[in-house]
Amino acid sequence: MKAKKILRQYACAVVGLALASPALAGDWYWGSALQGLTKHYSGSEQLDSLSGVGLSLTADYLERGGIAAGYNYNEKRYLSGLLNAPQSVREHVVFGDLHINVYPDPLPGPLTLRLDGYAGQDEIRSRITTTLPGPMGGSGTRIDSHYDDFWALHPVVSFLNYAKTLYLDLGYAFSHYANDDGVTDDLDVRQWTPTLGLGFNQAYDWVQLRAYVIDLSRSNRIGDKRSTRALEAKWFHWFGIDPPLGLHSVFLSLLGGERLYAVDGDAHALYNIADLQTGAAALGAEWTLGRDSQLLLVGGYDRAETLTSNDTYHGSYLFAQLSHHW
Amino acid sequence: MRKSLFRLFILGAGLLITSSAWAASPWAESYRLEALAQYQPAIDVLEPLIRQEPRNDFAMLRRGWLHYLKGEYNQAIKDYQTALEINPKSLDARLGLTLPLLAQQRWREATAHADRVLQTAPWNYYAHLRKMVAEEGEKQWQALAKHAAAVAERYPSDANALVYLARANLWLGHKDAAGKAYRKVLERIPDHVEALQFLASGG
Repeated sequence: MKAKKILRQYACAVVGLALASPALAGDWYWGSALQGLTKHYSGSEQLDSLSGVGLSLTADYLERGGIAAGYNYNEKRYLSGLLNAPQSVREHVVFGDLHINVYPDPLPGPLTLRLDGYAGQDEIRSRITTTLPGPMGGSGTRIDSHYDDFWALHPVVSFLNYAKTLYLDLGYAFSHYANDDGVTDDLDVRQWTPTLGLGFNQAYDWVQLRAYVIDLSRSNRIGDKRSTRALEAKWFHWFGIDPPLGLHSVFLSLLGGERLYAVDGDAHALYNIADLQTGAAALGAEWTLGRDSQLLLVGGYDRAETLTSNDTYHGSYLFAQLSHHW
Repeated sequence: MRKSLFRLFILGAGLLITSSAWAASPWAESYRLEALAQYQPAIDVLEPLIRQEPRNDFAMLRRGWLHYLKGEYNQAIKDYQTALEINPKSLDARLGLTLPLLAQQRWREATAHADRVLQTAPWNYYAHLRKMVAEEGEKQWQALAKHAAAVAERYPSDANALVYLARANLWLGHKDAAGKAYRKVLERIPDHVEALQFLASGG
């Protein structure tokens, strides 16, 4: 419960900063983003839907570096009437990002050193049938909650050349998932993500390949899985003069292989459930609204498998983000 | 008469000695080496002047410029900052700083220095030019269009502001305005490649 209080205070601080930041001008450049996610699961014996909202704030000091902070809330709902699954999981995640840019003369572009940190808590809510009489007589039900805490650290070093034709990064993430139900083991996850990005067509197109190499500690929450390997490919296209539908850019993302408990630094997202991602595809479009705002819409599909129950399912989602900078 | 000729001889000899002394000065040698693109030797000959007390802000400006030409942008930034410490009123040092910053695509930082110059000298041409480069780098097309139009109004013989005005209008989808600006560029520089290409493409 103490963690929940800290999360709430952190969320209030992020909102407060977001409201106060326009007053803090000068050499700091501020940005904020509001996002929403809705996801529906098909073919699952347990999962029903997921919805989430988030708020983030960024502050960059000229081009020397910056900080970011954010808060995400997600609620995952399970099918009703199940004996072996909770009713829902409410998740609170806060994240912070600190990065600095350095410009070594021998390199034809800046190096960025970045450290992301995440901390969160899952409230697992289960409906318990009691033998005590309910309001209408007979047995009653009540909601019982237990809390699992988790955190992750994610340092990344990246390089982008001045011509915007080559990007390289190497990321490492260490994540820890704790359980307080007395049954499920804690879990440690180590992830390496080498990335290559190539720009072409006079910087109107960008292709990015990222490998996910993930090693997991022994835990009864993931069965026999000890490691996963996946490759993510993204293609971005930016529009020039007279864009169709007023679009600023579009992207297509594909994921192959297997990915479990991944940390996605681009999206500031933790995939923190014991479900093995076995494929994903997403299509996104971004519009510029006025001079300083953007709207991003993403539709996606992913395939997954619950390791402890061999429940194979897929999910389809819609994600929207409205961002503003000043 | 003889006395006057003697005086003229003394004056001529003095001038010759002085000019040959200047021709052999570190400054002259540094300029000569720069013209030959020998930037490090051009820096090296200035070192005794840079070590002198009181510190010479012009020597620091000169070394910053040579480091910039050499592609040593971080050292150029340090030199221009030192020149600014020696002479905090130096607009040259602030304008100098914008060069390596723009080379490193640090658009906001370059803009911050250009803005400081414009606080003192509101229509300083180079400050506006460097700021327009940064606006283009950040793809701030509306701001660039407005800014370039204002600069072109004040410097009517200049083609650079008109080129930025044309580019910004092109990105904003204002092809007629872009064509008008490119035609004005050709009045000033008849063989301007970019303007000719735009008009040849039917713009």
